[in-house]
Amino acid sequence: MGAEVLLYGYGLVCISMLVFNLLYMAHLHTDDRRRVHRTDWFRRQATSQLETIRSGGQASPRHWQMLRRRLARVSHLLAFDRLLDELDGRDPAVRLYIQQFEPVCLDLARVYLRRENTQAAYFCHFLYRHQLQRFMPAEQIQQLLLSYLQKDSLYCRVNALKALCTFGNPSVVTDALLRLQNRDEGQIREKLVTETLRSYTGDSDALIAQLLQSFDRFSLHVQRAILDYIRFTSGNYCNQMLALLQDDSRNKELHFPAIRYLGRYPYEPARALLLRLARDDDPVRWEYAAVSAAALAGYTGQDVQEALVQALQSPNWYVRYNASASLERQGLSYESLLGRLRADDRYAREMLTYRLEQRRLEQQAQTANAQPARREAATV
Amino acid sequence: MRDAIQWFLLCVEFFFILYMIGYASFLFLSVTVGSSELYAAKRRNLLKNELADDYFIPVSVIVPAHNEGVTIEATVRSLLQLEYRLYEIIVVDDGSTDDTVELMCKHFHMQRIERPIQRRIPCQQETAVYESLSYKVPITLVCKKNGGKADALNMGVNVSRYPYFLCLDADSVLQYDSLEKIVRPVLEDSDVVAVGGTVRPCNGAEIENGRVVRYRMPRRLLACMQVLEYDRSFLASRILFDKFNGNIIISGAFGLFLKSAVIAAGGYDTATMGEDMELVVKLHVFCRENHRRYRIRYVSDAICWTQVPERLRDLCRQRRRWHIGLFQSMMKHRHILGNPRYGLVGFVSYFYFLIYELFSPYIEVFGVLTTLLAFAVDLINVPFMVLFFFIYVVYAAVLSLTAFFARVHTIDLRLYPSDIFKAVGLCIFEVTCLRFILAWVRMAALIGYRRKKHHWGRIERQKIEFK
Repeated sequence: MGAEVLLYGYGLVCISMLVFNLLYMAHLHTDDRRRVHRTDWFRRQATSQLETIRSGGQASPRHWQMLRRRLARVSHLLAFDRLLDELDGRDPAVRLYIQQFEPVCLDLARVYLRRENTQAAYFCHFLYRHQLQRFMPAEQIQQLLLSYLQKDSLYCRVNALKALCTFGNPSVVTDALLRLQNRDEGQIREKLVTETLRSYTGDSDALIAQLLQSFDRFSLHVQRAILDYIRFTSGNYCNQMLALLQDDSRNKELHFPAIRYLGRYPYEPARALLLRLARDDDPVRWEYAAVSAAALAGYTGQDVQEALVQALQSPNWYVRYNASASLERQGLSYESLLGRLRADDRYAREMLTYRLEQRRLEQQAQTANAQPARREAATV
Repeated sequence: MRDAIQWFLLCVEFFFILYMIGYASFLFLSVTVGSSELYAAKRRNLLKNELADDYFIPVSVIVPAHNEGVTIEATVRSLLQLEYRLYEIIVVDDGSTDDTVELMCKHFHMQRIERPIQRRIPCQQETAVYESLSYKVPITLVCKKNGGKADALNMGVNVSRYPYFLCLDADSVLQYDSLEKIVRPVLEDSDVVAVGGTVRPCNGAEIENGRVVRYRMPRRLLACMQVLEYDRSFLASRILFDKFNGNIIISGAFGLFLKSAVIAAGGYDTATMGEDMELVVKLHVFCRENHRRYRIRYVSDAICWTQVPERLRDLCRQRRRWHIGLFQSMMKHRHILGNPRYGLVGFVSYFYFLIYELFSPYIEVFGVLTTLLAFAVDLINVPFMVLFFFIYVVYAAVLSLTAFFARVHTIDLRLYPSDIFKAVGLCIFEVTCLRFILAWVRMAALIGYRRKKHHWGRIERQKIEFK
């Protein structure tokens, strides 16, 4: 009997779930329509305020009060989000309207900070998507956004960091990174940090200076992310990268991004060290040899070619692979490259042949892609 | 004698009550958790709680192919439609005897190349390597001696350039955003070593540039029932198991793996037919034995569309193969059952798969036989049996429909009324008929196991139409 009751009970809950599904289906059907209506409503309200601003007046305090009340509901914030998409930020009236929106934004930041993670994350997304910092100084909002970094949701933390990056304040972003690493116990994925920093809208050199100043306070993960960010952003830090590479007390995980940096932005004072690392045949240090062999692609000269040919004979597959790629980029002919190898060095020969065949494929692909473009141009 | 039979039937009854309560509770819990998770995911999506496409990691997409001339072109074309920053396509031809290689060369301008391959996992020797750089991502075709799907995947892993690889069946296509979605768990958590995506039958769906532009239930009833079955199984166990890092299966049709972890664990096992499940269980074992922090995740909104068999004979072959694969994987890693070292994986996941997947056909057929026995000796309460069966059918049908609707609506597919009627009608048929046919097939799968354990069986493919 007990089993029957249980089955009936389960069945009842499942039927409720089915009913929920059907109701949800109906809700979805009408949800989009409701959002369009809400956006229309906000548009009408904003249009009348913009007209007042254009005629030299101020937006009504009742309008801001209404926005404060309504935008505290996420469904309305979604509709307002759509409206902001439509407004032209170059229009002086719109700029003024958004400047006057700042106190509302500040109140909303306080409201959404207390909300559950999904809504809090959406508010941060709203801030960075519309880059509201262009129109408002918003010191207090930035301070509030730092509190969003303590939320449990990764999306909320990433969105908050992104929003902070749009405000372009280097010391706040540095502070945010420190808080983020403490919150995540230094385990945050480097890729997330690097890519988020790349959305920084202020003076990147000022940010890099601030990050380098606080470099030792960051965890290894964040340090690597910062080095990658610098590599993608500016070529002005070769000296610092070389110093980091020469500092044996640093973790090797920091040496590799430094080597990559010096490969992307060739720096003559680093040449000797890179050559030495590429020639290093200590099996324990194969990663140094592999990364340096790749970095040497940007350097020219007899000594580079000799080091790369030597690396091509390494017992390590990755060293050979990178060395062959760099040799191929030196632009030497097939015969000239093969002539430098020992006759019995099958592995090096295979690798080099492969790279050269790849170059041929690339050239063919470029030609094939160029032909339709030429035909198109001729037709025009 | 009659007393003995009565006593035997009493024991059977007791066992089945426990068995059914266990199963009903599991299904109930998993469908409830699964549905609520799907709706939560939809809300997260609406409120932009997601990592945008400027976050990415490079991925190698590996497609093992054996006599896939009918589908390979469409599959590779669909891969070229993916909206993702950095990936490569690797097709491993596993000694095909049809025109798979010729078709690849013809349609994708593949050129033969002397490429050295670093063998970090043992696999059969390659016979030729082709590459094409004429498209937005590089395409590599490796031809090798026939060694089975696992061996082809191992070759793909050896050839791959990037730190993560995605395995994809040659009769499947990825939705345009599936790669972006399947890598998200990896971006969120560096401990993730594998991610499974959702596989949905594409029979009946119209796909254009990797997007489903029109979705209908398949015309063939057998395929329709598999739609319901796939939705239920992907909703039922995977989301629930994901909550405690307990998934021990990632479909071979669509899964993302951290290459270094797979290589360290020894790669795909070529001696098993269920190489997908075996690899995931092996990753659990490897990471736990080496005290490595790890997560194996499931993503419900990363979608791969696959062809399901439309003929009963093909379906039986497929399920026989799956059951043998399940048996091989579970036997190979039987030491994890109830072993505290493996936590909930050993206590819940393995136990569930053992009782409700591996043994279930035997238990179900045993149940039918004992019912017949009870009927023969007049020891059965027929009205109660009919009522019980009715409750079972309604319960299973409601769960299937819940899973089906939850799945359809959370990925924004619009259904036609005729499809809804089809789903409602067929969910009953699936529970009452197809399930028992497949139980019989799975039960018979291990008969002649030693003789047929490496025989895959040929399933007829249909040409996939993509615009």
